Amino acid sequence: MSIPTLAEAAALIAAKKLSPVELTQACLDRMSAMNGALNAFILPTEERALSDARKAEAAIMKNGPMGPLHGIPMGLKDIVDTAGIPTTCQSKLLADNIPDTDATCAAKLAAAGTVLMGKLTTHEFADGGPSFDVVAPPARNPWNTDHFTAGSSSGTGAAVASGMILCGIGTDTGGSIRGPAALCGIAGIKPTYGLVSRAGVAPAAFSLDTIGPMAWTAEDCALMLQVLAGHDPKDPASADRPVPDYSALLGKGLKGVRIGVIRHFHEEDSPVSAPVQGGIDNAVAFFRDAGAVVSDVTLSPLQDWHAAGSLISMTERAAAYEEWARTRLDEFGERVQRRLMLGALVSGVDYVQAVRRRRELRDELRNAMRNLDVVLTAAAPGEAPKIDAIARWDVFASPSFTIPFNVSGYPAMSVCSGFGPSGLPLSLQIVGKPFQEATVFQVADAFEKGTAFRGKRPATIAA
Amino acid sequence: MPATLTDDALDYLLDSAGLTLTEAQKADLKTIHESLTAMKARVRQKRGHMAELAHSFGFTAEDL
Repeated sequence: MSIPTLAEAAALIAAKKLSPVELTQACLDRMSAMNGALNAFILPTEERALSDARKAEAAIMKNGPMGPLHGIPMGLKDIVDTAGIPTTCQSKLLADNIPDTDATCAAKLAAAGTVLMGKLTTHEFADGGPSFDVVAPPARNPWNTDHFTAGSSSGTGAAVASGMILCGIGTDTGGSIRGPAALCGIAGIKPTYGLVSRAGVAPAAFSLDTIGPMAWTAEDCALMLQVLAGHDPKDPASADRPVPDYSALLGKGLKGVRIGVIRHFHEEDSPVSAPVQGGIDNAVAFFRDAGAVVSDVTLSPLQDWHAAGSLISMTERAAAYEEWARTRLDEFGERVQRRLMLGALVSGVDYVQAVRRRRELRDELRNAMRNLDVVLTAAAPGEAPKIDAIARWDVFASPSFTIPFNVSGYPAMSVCSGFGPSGLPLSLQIVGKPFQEATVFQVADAFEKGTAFRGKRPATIAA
Repeated sequence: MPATLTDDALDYLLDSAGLTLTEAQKADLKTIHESLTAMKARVRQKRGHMAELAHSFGFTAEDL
């Protein structure tokens, strides 16, 4: 069976031309063939998957599907609590942790009739990676297993790209959905802060953490976000707003859509590779040809956004894990140990200055987008690097293209923009205004459907 | 911020944070002092004493 998108599978299931059991078995077969090499799943749940699939099939045959996610194989990043199923956060500290209740996002996906394929590999506590000294090995890039997936939603990126799942949950504090989406050649959106409940998901940095969908296409992400979004009183940061139809603008075209390019981020502040630049330039030309109005946008340097976001992230993370850092530091992997140590070097005043800078930067972006619908920049500096070539202190190695939109809280999506000379995916990032995810999907979907990149899967897949 | 992080200063900071590190870990941490100092300088833009924090996103109609 070739790998359908979530939207394609949903249509076939609704027409009773595809059985959820058949679809799930095909995903399980791919998992069996490839997870040994990719380490996308830390804990496959084959029996649960087939049980979910059979229940979905019976229900659909009787009453039709509840919605597009009914019968769809998906995975949950292993920092998302799952009742009765181990949730380790890829850490020795939680090796034996079995939650009593589902995280809100897990419960919502279950209620929508999804098929749980398993718990997905993550960086330890959704922090830096890759780590080779934690409870399980890191995920590898399905396009070339010597290469990094990015993280921390590393397993989700690998599992979607290789067709083991049709969609999955990621979380994003500084780029942990968009980075793996970029390097694994899939679609991933960090929604507006507060749109998707964080209840039951291990924290990384409270004021930056966002939960979101990762899937093959923007349309698939829209369908998944439709289920995930909405107020949850268990999350104190949860936005209390009506949930719109995230698919409403798909297929509406781009005529008159106003796109700003934050060109200096990826051309001057931290120049991307020539292939990534080419992908962005081609995308800009595509958008212009489609009738969008494209202009340049100037913000503070990327390094300013990176500094504010990083100082906030370091401090909030150090606070969240302070007790364990003080008493069990050596039980973390080395990479996370290093990150946690940084908390000792950042003062309360440093943190406050970073949060004041955050307001200034957010105001800048708001003003810059006053007459725009979306802005666009790089999602990653190049193709995926080798997995053993990640800098020891990567937070200081180069500024992040993704953290500006955690700093601002705005929704931001990574989509595939082509393939580089090594055959690895290229990417770009589309950013919308708060709670305007539908517009982000509109632009991303138009780009995907107007280009041929979604037609190519990793050669390693035994389809 | 001092240009270098002395051993005594680092020990004081680690002690205040309640962290116990090996000598190798302390040496590793000292290697990023300059980068971290640069990061801290970037968030210290010229601003008045009344400049507010971003307590919440507080999205308004103007954002949409």
